[in-house]
Amino acid sequence: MPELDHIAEHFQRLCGLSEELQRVEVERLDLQDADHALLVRLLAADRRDGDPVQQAINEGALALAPRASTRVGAWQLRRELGSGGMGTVFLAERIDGNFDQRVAIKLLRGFPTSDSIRRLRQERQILAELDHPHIARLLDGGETADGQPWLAMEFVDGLPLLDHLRLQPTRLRDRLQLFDAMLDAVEHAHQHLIVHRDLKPANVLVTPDGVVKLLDFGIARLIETGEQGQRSTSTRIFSRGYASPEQKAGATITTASDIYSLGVMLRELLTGQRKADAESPAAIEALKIDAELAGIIAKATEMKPGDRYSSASEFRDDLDRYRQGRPIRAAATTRSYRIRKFIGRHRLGVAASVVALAIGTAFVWRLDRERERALHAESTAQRALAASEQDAASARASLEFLTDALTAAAPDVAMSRQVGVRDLLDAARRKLEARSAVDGSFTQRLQRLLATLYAQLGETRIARDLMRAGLEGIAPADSADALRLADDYEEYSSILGLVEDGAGSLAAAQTAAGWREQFAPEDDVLRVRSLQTLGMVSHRGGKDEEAIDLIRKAYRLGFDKSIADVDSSIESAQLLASLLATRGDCEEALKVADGGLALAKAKLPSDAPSNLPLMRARASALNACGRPTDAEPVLREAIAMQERVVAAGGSRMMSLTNDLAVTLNDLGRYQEAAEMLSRSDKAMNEVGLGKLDEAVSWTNRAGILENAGDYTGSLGAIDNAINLLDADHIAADHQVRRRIERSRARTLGLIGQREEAWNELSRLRELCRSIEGEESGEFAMLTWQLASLASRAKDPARGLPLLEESERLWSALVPPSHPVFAHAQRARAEFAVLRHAYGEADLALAKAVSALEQGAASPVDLAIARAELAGLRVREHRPLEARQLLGQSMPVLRKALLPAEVNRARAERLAGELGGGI
Amino acid sequence: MAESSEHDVTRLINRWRAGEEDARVTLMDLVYSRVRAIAGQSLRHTPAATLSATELAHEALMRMLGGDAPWENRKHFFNVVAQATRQVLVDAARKRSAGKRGGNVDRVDIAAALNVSGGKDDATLLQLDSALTELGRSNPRQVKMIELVYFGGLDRCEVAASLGVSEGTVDRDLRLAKAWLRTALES
Repeated sequence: MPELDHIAEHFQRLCGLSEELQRVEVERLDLQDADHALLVRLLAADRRDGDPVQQAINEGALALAPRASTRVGAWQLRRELGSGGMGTVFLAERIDGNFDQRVAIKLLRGFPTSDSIRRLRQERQILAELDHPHIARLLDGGETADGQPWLAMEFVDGLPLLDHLRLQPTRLRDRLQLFDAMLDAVEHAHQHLIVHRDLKPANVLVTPDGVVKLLDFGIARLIETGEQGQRSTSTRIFSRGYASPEQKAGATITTASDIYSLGVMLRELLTGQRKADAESPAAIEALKIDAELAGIIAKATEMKPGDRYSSASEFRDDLDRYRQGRPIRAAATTRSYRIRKFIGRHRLGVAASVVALAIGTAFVWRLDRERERALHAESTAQRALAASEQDAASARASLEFLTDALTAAAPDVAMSRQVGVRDLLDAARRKLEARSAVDGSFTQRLQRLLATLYAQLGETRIARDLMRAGLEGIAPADSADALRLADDYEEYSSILGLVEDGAGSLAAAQTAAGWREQFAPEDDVLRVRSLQTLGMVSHRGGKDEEAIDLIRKAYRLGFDKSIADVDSSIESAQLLASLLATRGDCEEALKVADGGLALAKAKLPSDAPSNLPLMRARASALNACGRPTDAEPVLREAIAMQERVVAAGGSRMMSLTNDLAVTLNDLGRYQEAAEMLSRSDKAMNEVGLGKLDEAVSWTNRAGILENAGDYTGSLGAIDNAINLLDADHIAADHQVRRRIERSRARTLGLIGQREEAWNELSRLRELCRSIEGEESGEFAMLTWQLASLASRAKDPARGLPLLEESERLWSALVPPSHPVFAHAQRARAEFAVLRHAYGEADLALAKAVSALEQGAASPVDLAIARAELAGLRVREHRPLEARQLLGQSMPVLRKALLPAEVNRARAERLAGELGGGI
Repeated sequence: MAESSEHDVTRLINRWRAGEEDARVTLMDLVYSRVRAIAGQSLRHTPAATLSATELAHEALMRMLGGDAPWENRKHFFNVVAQATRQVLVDAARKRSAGKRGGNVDRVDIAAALNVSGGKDDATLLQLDSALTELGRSNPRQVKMIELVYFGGLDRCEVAASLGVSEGTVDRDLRLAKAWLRTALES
């Protein structure tokens, strides 16, 4: 039995020394003979090259699978270079005698089907296009006689990155230069839409001349391609420690995933540690990194892909900036980020009801739920820098201040992630209060910074007070200062909007706009941004007309001046299209959304996430036009794109799946709609939404339940929604509350509480008249709901005038093909039957059936109309036709609707009367 | 889904983590037969493919636990799979060496499928196996490390995380263990 413990310590100490020194040192030790001999033997064994353990095991494994051939394509395999998760790599030379060319041949495993081989060939074509001095080229590829795929790559005779650094201790500048080359290579690949997926130091070789070469670009993807058909769980290939959170979570991988891995590698190649808080001894000489470099790394390794550098070149720009001593941008809040944040916060135009004609939804794109963000010391540093991105000295002061505060907050765990952000902010606030007003402008700057942070935590009231104090008596010193303050005012506007201070929010937005106008009158991008902000304030205040005017101006400005900032123009298009769709101007909404999509197509890559809000706006417009059949594929495409390009969950997915649920509901596919809504709820839970959005989701659920005939369930869901609104103190005239109350009234009407339903709908209609006006979609909807209720109550005296009015209102809003007109004909027929005017009723129902047959509307609606026509045929003593119509309807109704659903119940009674097993 | 029993494997791992030793034994049996099956299967599908010990381990992980298993589970799994892989390779070598003497019939199908005779390589592998067993009596942690690195395919940081020691300790222990194994193999 080996007594290793006796000598382990000596071995550790001596194994790094030269042979000669070892001998001297060993003799000086006071060891027993056996231990002495063992130590000498071990040190000698340690000095020898090679790895007999590995060799023995490899040969054992090889014996399991004897190699049939050492020739692959035009190449002769020479020796094994290594093996890993994806296969085995060999050094190879050309068979035809061109011995100058050596390549690394990778034999890939796990490509069992011809389909996967075909996909592999396609991918190989794409990879072959990568031609960059810092990327090892793909030279050749094919399949062996046994069908095993192989790739021939440029052979790089170099050392892995960390080994290189171990052997050649270098300074910061040199290491950053190596990293620069890596960024170059990654940028090149990303421009070809190739994501590496497995970036790690072992995949970066440095040649003796110091040239950096990245290996295995896209190989991980190749392997996954090959295995797709084989298993439905993708065998993700990545290296723990470098893989991004989304990669580890099995979510969609994008170029941002490579950025993350690069960030980890940057930290490791500078500090020898992959994590900021790691403590193990570094394998390479560790350099100290300052707050700015830490900020850059933190930005690259943000948890959310969208928060990282958007490209390798942006990453490099910031490093360049750092090297030149200019302030870095790691924390700069970009314009579009601000706008999105603003919109997100204000939960604009949340999806409306799921009445048969959902007026459509609007534009809640809460990209980020800031409160979720795991803030730690580094991102705090970034935010401190953001306080005055132009002024590095001041930023450092902020940083020191926050660091002090952090230490004060929790001295034991300072600089660890465990400090609650809230603790940190509270400590910072107390410290700020205690600070004497030596430097008033510094204090106020900090207050504004803290206000922003509190707002991100959802602590809007504290945020408001801090921002108010931070802006009090402030006058801009120069134009640059004024523009920065304008940003703060915009933030203030957003905070005030959140605490329901509409007037204050408007005033702040106007101040921001005013200063921009005064100090940067030529800057159209800023003007567009101001208009968008003002438009959002109006929308939030319930003044959609004003909002539309403002956003329309922003939209036109973007086009007239052909502003180069595509994002800004797309933002305008999306906001305008959504607002128009919400109002019911479906044709114009469609035109604007398509205009935006055309612009995106011309200026952005086809997979650009900016397309998503536009696609969603287009779908809303199509739904508003009564074209759910056309809306469905648009939403499905958007969902697929979101999954592919961005992420499988999150707020966007919530909105998109919610919209799709509404659309499916319109198509009468209640089962699918309910499933889709569950998916939306799942995304919603992940995002952690506010009460308002939750209420909307409950209402949508209620609508689907109601359509299927579960009235009790529907009312329960609506009550949940209303409770949430109450808990959130949503005012009576709030658009969302009114729509939810409209849904409730409709359900009450269906279960026979007609008087209450009538009063409620009438009240809402009057409220709508004064808020949105008579030309709004909501007014038309309420009028139609009243007419529909009257028809169910068999009250033509009240119903007919309302019916005619609603038809008139709708024709100004939607095209004649809209299904609402078919439903109006159904109501007309009801009234005619009450007057025994069967001829008129017949005509109206025939119109309804034919419109529903032609339109691509819900098959359930068509079945209902046919069943109604069947009822009429019975009265007309034409039982054969009745039977035929009912025979068409019943299977559809029975499949989609519960027995208690009013229309099905009625049709079932008729079927019973007719008999004959319908 | 991973091929089968992904759920079972996860459950077994959880039970093992909760301290149930018999769960570990069951898991070990499961993994052993799976690793053996993978070795046999990959031969039938792609006769020219080499499947190294590391690949076997990863393949087993993917099939039994799925690619996205949480690290805690992977960690435990790799512990088992590393041992199982060692077992499979050693059993196969033993079988090849045993030649036509029969014996150990229930665990021979790989060797039978391979139809390879035992040679010098097998002897080395068997020698390594007994050296590891010997070392394990006094230095179990070092043996665990060797298994994780060579049979499980873990890198030094994963080994460190898996055993709850620092990477420096892993480097030191491995270096010593490798030196000792080398002396044992060359003796």
